[in-house]
Amino acid sequence: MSPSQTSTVANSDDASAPQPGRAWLYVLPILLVPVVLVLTAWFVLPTEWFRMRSGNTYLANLGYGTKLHGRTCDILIYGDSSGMAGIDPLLLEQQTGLKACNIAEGVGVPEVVHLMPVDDFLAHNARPRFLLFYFSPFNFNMFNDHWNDDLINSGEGISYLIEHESTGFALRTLLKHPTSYLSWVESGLRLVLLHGMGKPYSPDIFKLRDETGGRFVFPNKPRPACDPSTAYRALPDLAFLSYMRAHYATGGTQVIVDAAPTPDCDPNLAYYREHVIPYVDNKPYLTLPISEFSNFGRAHPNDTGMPKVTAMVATQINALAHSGGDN
Amino acid sequence: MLFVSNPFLFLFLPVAVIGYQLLSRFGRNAMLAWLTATSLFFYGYWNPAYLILLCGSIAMNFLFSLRLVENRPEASRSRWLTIAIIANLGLLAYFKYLFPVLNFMHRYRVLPHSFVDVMLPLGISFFTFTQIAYLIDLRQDVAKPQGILPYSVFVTLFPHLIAGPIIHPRELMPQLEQGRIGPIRSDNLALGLTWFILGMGKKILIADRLAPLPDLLYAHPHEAGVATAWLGAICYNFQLYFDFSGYSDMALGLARIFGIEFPINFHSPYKSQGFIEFWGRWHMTLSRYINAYLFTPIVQGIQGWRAVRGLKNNRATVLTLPGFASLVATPTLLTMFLAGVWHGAGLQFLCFGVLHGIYLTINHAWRLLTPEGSRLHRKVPPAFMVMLTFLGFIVTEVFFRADRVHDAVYVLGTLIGLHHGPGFHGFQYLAELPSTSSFLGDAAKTTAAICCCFFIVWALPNTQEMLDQIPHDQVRLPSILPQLRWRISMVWSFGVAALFCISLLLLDGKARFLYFQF
Repeated sequence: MSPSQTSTVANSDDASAPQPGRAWLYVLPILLVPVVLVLTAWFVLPTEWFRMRSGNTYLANLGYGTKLHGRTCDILIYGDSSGMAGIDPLLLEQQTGLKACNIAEGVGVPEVVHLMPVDDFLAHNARPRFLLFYFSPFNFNMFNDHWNDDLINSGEGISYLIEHESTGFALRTLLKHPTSYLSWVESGLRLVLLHGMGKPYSPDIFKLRDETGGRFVFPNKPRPACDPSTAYRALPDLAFLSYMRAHYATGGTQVIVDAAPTPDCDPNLAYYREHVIPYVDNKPYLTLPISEFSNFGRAHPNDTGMPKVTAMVATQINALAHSGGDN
Repeated sequence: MLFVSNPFLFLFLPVAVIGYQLLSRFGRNAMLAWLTATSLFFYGYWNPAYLILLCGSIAMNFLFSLRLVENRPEASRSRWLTIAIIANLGLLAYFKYLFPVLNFMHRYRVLPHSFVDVMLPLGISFFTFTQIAYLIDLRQDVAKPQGILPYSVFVTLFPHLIAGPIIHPRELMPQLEQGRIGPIRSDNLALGLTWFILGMGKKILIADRLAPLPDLLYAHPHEAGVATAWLGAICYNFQLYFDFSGYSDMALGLARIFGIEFPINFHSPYKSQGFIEFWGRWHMTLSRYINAYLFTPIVQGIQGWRAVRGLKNNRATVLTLPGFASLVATPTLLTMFLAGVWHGAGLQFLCFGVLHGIYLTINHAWRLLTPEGSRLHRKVPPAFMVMLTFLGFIVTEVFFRADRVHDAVYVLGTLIGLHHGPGFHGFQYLAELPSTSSFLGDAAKTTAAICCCFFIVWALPNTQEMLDQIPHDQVRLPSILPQLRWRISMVWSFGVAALFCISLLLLDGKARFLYFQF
């Protein structure tokens, strides 16, 4: 073993050094790359053009609630993807006799803009009789300002923020999370690179949620086994829970806060029962066999599990409607 | 903080560069203080608690260094050096080896209960080795004693803190002296940025794209067939190559932005015609370190032992079997055994080291038996030697990558057809490949990608050759280097900007450098 002693540098000859002006001109386009990317993303990623070419059905359906104007929904559902996939408004309507609208979004949206989609909806539509906040048991902490930079997480929220909230507010929010925005710039523009020249989604994709009253239908294949991870544990934020209950329970609206059912083999179940369920309204807590969840993304109810979840919500609403009392 | 992460690229680096430039008006100490502060922040960003360890290690070794200065008695200096080395290796042993060894003993029922591993502090091997080298050089009067500020920069300078290159005091210290260290120059910025982005491209566009196939192979070694095992193993060889050479390029480029020149750490190792040459080109500063502080002392020890017994140590002795065994094979095997252990506490790293020791011993024997210009030399074409070295490296890398020796042996068995798994497309886990590496799901496309990698490593000049950063007599010919030589021109500027742009778009927040675990 006789390692080469090749050491540093060789040819840094000051006499042949280029003129500083030329060197600065050389580095300028390189230094401008991040600036160009950041600005391009600001204007491209929140557009329909991008979402139709993103290859991501979540993104294509972003901001469903903002498209609704002048609607009268007796039941309004907002929450994370568990709510998007797990509650069928049409079925709920059959079981309660009340018109239901599901404007839940992927978790990135509540992570970034919290409950603003509800405010945006209420600004353009009639107040509902029942407002159901429906989150996965580990997502009752949307005020904590912790953004998950995975593609389908905070990216959706950032797109929603730029597209639907004021520029000043969006800038102020993103300045607090520069690396999340940069992650979204990169992963969003990567999607443009991969799918931008490809065939866009059919415009029918926007009708997808309209036809289901807002439910987002996931692939139906049953999940074969439980995720053994115990990473999905988070204490609920009591301030978040109180805000939902206090802020929206006005003008005749009754607020319900539910935790989405989890698989009965979920290793976090005991944790949720101890730390989360005492603060939500769906008691006793419903669990479902793993086969009633979709084998796509996080565990969301499939066509077998969804009717059970919807029935659970219908039972809660019927009880409240008949009692006529506050929750 | 990773070099290929948003916080580093968009926040840390611009602040570090601008701050350095502003403070350069206030002189050497201000620049050194800024470099130390930013480097500590860089390290602490990963885990602030381990900043205490790093600062403690620096303080401890700086105090040791005060005991090793020339005007102290020789015996006292030797004693303090021994204490310092024991303290440093003790720290390294605690964090890197103690708990894996205890748990190993528990698995074999030597100990009644298991232990929770402590988290391995990032770069502990590198900053420990760097400091030991400084202390030894100080004891041998090769290095000059330094003040706390330049010493801190020497140890912590963020471009080399986590995974090298392992810097020798005489390489860095003179560059930190008054008159040498100075404000950022535009030509250094241009060269450094280019070097950094070329390395980033290697890492993101090649290493990270190839990584998912070896990841799947080694996660499910018993379910892969021959084709999957070969493609996965070759992909890993290229992943490791582009990952580490990319890292080295980035480190050298970052240092150059601040006008600091680091030693070359990677010099086309896959063009090597044997393992002696290979280790002179792969992780060169580690090889140099091992050579100076491990191999040479072992050889000297053996020579001393032989001399006491009246045995000769000359070249003729090396040509005899007992002489070769004692003067070449033993120190080589022992050195590479320790180098393997350095890589980690698992048995697979030990196998990796011993295999390299065997290769090097065979290579030494070949050199001794077939001196330059011999008939055998002429009969074996260089391309065969290069290919043989590459194949030999694949075998060692199977141990290097596998989680356990058992898995490595199984994969090697599959490679030589002992196990009959499904065909490439029957490997069920291919469905888990990410969209940015979807080409790996197709055997023909994977083979094409591997051919491209072979072309890059065998036919193209390497980064430092393109950037004109090695003496011209070390450039391999024939080469298309004249066409690829870097110059400050708008064509290069836009080319590098495009590479930067594509690299950023494929940046994966979860990617890690393979050598960070050491």
